[in-house]
Amino acid sequence: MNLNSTQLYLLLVLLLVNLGLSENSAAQEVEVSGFATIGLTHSAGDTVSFRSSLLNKGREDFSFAPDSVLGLQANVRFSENLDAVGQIIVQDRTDTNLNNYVELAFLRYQINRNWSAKIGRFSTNSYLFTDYRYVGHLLTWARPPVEMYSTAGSLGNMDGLQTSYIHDVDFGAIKFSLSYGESILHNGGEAGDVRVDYEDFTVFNVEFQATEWRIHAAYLSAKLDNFVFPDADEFVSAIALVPSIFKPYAEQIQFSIIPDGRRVTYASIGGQYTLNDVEFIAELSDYDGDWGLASSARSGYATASYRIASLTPYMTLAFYNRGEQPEVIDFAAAQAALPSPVYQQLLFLTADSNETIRGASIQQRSISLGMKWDFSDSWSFKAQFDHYRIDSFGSGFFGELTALTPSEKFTYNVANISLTTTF
Amino acid sequence: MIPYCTDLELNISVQQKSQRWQGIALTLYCALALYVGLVTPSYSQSADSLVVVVNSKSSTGSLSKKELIDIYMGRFNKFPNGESVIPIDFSSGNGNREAFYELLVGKSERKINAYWSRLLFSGRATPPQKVDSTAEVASIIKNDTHALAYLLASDVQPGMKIVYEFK
Repeated sequence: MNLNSTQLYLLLVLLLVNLGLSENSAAQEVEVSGFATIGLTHSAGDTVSFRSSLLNKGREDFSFAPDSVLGLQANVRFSENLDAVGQIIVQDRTDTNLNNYVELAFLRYQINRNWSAKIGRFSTNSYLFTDYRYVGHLLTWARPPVEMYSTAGSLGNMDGLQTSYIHDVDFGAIKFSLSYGESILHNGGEAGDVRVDYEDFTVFNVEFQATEWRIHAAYLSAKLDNFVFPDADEFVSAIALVPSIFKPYAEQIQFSIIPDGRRVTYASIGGQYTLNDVEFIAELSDYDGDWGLASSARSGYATASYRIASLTPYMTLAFYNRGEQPEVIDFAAAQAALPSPVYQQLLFLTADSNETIRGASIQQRSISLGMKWDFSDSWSFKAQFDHYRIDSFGSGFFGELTALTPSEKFTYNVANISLTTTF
Repeated sequence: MIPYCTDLELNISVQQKSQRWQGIALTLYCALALYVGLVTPSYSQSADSLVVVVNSKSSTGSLSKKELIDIYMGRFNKFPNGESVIPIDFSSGNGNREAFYELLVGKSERKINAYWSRLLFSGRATPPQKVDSTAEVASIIKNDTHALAYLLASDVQPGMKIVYEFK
């Protein structure tokens, strides 16, 4: 039986738990823990549906699905220098491939006081909260701002090798990490499988850690390859058969839709500062890619919260600005170059692929207001209201309820109450 | 220190209403101060300071506060000299634990629990080993040269070595 990497990792996680629980185990210490969030979300609108991650299904009206999560983790220590971690996340995924449920599965070796190494599946730490974004009890928000973290699921972890160095400084510590490996995106739906490989995947992180604050920066670079989508063969065949007058535009379409061999990069910086009962968090990300289905963009947010006894009210402002217009070819240039009847024919031929590009494009701003109530050491209750302002052809974060992507600006409101815990 | 206040005589005549409200306000303040003084744990009242100990045969002779923070906040899992360290922590709700983290990093137990949960679920580190009693601490320290623990100075026993004392 041939096993893919995801199945191997899942087996490793189960093996770790079994080793730890076994009486004759080589493990010195085992800990099984977990976290859970039960969230009731309401989204109002008839053009898009809400999802907390691009990997999740869009849901409308009242639903427990968008913000409910279950996580199970096993930590096994084999010796003073060797340990392993496995973590499974259960969430409302569009694609139920096992790859989307195994979050962590790695072996770690502590080389000396400052150096350590990991092999397996681990977090890319692309943003400040990437490595614990699912643990609702540890977060002030009902969910991390979607403008940054909706896409984190796609590249939130990777398979490969990581080495880290932590340096002692007066204010705390500085940690450097370098990772190399790959990641696979599975995000298919009813229409069929959607998959793309992130190869030659390199990640560099630096984090400044102090008691009251934390600053984190990351740089990710990966080559896209083996892009699979529904009716891909028919698409390629159709591109090859277009009349010669449309050949240049067919090449543009193919370049826009199929990213194989091209590189994407992410750069992010973020900080979290806590002073007594006040906390400020801000992050900024710059994504560079010329793939039409995930084009360049800049995103960010800022959050302020103030703790009063066991209550923490908070407010977040966030944005996502695309760097490219959502069009599969340069229609202005085409219109200038082609006779009108030919241009009209071009519009007809590019309609489907152009709609695909528009459906994936993102341009929005949001304001969120919420309250977290820590009514016990391990339980919290949250209530959050999000107001999204979405630009023309900018609703790519959300699920579509209509055949065509909304072409007009519109607003979208989401309300959530949730109960969250760790155990 | 429990705030000190004297008994008041209140004049309740119609012409002295302002004095009456001042008196009520002062009485409420004294009562509140008395309540706060009684319920607020006062570490400074105790003559028994918190100390950090290792096995008497440990190669670690002393630790700075910064080095202690690095270990108990999960940044390093080895002593400065490179030896592995097994930090020991009292379970949640223990008075010594509350005082220890307040003195160490000025944070409440709730914040410390949240901090360690973050390290756990991000896969970065596992929390210190938990114990429920000073007797457990003593047993671990005496039998493991890698162990590091905190307890009251009066609970230090032969076989232990103090590497840091909170003043």
